[in-house]
Amino acid sequence: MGLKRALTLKAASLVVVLLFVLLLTTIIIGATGISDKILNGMVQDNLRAIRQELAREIRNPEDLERALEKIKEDLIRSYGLDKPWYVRMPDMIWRIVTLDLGNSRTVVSFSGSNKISDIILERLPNTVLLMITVLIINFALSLMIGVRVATKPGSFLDRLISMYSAVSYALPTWWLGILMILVFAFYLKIFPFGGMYSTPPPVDPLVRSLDLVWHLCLPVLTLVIATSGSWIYITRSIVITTAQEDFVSIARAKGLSERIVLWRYIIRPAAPPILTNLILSLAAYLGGAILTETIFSWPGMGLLYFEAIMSVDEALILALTYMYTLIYVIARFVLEVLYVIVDPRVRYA
Amino acid sequence: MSLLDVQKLMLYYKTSRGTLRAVDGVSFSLGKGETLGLVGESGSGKSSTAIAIMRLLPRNVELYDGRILLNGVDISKLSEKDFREKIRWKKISMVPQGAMSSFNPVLKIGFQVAEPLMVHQNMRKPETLKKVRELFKLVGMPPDYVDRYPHELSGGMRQRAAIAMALILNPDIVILDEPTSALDVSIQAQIMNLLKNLKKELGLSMIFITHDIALASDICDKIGVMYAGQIVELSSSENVLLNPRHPYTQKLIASIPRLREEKMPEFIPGAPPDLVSPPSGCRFHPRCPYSDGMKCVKEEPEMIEVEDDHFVKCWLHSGGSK
Repeated sequence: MGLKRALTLKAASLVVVLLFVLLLTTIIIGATGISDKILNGMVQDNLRAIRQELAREIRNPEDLERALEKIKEDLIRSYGLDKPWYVRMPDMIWRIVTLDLGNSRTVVSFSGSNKISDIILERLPNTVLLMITVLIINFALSLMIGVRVATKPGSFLDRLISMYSAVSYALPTWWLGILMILVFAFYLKIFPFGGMYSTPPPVDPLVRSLDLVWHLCLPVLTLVIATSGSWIYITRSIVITTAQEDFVSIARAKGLSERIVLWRYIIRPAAPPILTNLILSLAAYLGGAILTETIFSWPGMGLLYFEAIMSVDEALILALTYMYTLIYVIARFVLEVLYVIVDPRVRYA
Repeated sequence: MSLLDVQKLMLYYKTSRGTLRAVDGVSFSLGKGETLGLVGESGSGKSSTAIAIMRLLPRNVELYDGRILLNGVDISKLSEKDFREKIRWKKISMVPQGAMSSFNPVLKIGFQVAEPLMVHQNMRKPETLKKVRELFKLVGMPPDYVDRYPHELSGGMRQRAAIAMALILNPDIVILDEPTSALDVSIQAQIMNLLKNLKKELGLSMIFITHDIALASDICDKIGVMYAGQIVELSSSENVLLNPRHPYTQKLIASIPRLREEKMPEFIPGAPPDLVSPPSGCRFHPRCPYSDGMKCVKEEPEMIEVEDDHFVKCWLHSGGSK
């Protein structure tokens, strides 16, 4: 029963986070006048289109201006521009929550739609593919290397790995990405500069997926090098700390084999604090993924975010901010569920 | 023949400052059904002695030497694998210092207590849990606590569970490393009574490690007083408590506060020595009021028998300086 209650509480708190981010974004956009600017821009766009159409029917310039003036007022009213931003806000939030994210001014989806939800849904799998791949590699690396060096702290390998962790932690993703392109794509010509498929994309499914993997290599490598260091180091230090606990020597005194001691008495109880660190590093990880996508023109949401910001497509920016928050909240919830499963101590708190 | 015979046990650690002599030539014996107390200040080598007997050596060990005879067999010569499979927990088990940290926080208490049965005797989980329930009754715990996690138990209950865990394989010897120091006084009394009952009922042989000489006298047949990695006085509890011969033991007993007594407890001047560079000669000489400044400083005294079964490591009794 405690399990269910704990999970409900966690879910509720994350929903609050989601709503809070949404509220904050809309307030910032509203109070700074960006929202007005977006809507005015839309009104002007519409008017320009209508003017051309009307100009064919209404020859008299004065009549035309008068008709346009009336249409403009209608448009202003329909966009809610006659009311202050805080009155428009609830409606805006509701539309975002229901994923009615509006239309993009600048970007169209690969299938030609300019509905933002279409655009995002098309790109979401690409982002997820990149992130999950990196996540799995990081997880495997930290378990294999982190635990291994933790059994021999102070050894040559341990010092080497610690040094790597410091370097990895200090490296900015974008800088590393550019460097990787320079070395592996420009000089060595082993990997492509970016994108997801070669042009033209291969037709055969097998060749196509191999092509995808080939394109995936550099961005994944960049993200792994830039993030695995802290993962490995955190795992290492938590395993070292856990290995010094009394219950570990008791487990040895009980005559258990080193293998059981390592897995059942060191790694298993080390799992909750390791998970905590993953939860805390999640946001930075998402940020790194956005930059990596941009540098490698990986057609995911991160690249879209960059494009939206560069072309000041406010509706798209807002929608993506919300989507990233949503991803964060979902990923975080998955981790929190894992945490509750892994650590019996939080179930009854 | 005694059950356990420890001879010239040594355990040195490597530290950044040099070799730390945590256990430096400790010898004692323990008979069947007997309880030996190892008493001393923090850092006197009590716990390291326990570690050395269980061969739970940390990574920075520089020297590990001596003979440990269990029923006449030298177990210090056994291979790592044999020692693990034949000695640990089967013959010698232990109750650790911290009641809080002796259990893995993510596994159920019952499983952790039963685990040695599954590993050493290949028993199935349901059978082992039945045995654990019985054992819980013996140590005064509700049997259904087997399904609880460590954090759901109070400190006293956790220590009872730790004792049950130590008894699960019917070992010859249980080493109790400050089993009550993390508990408050009333719980401490409960645990001490439990241990006394177990000693009587099961005929258990125990090594009781504590810094509290009064507590040790409550349960121990013999007491070994440790100072700077060595046993300086070893005899029956009565002898050590009522007729202490070593100046350190005398000071230690004088420092016990008493209820309803005007006398202020005494203290021992100075601090315990640094075991990286222990004092020359007798290790207690810098703090000893009887030090002659000659022989005590230069030569290390031998352990001598001052009366029947009463050993003291001091020049005062070696017919030396005075």
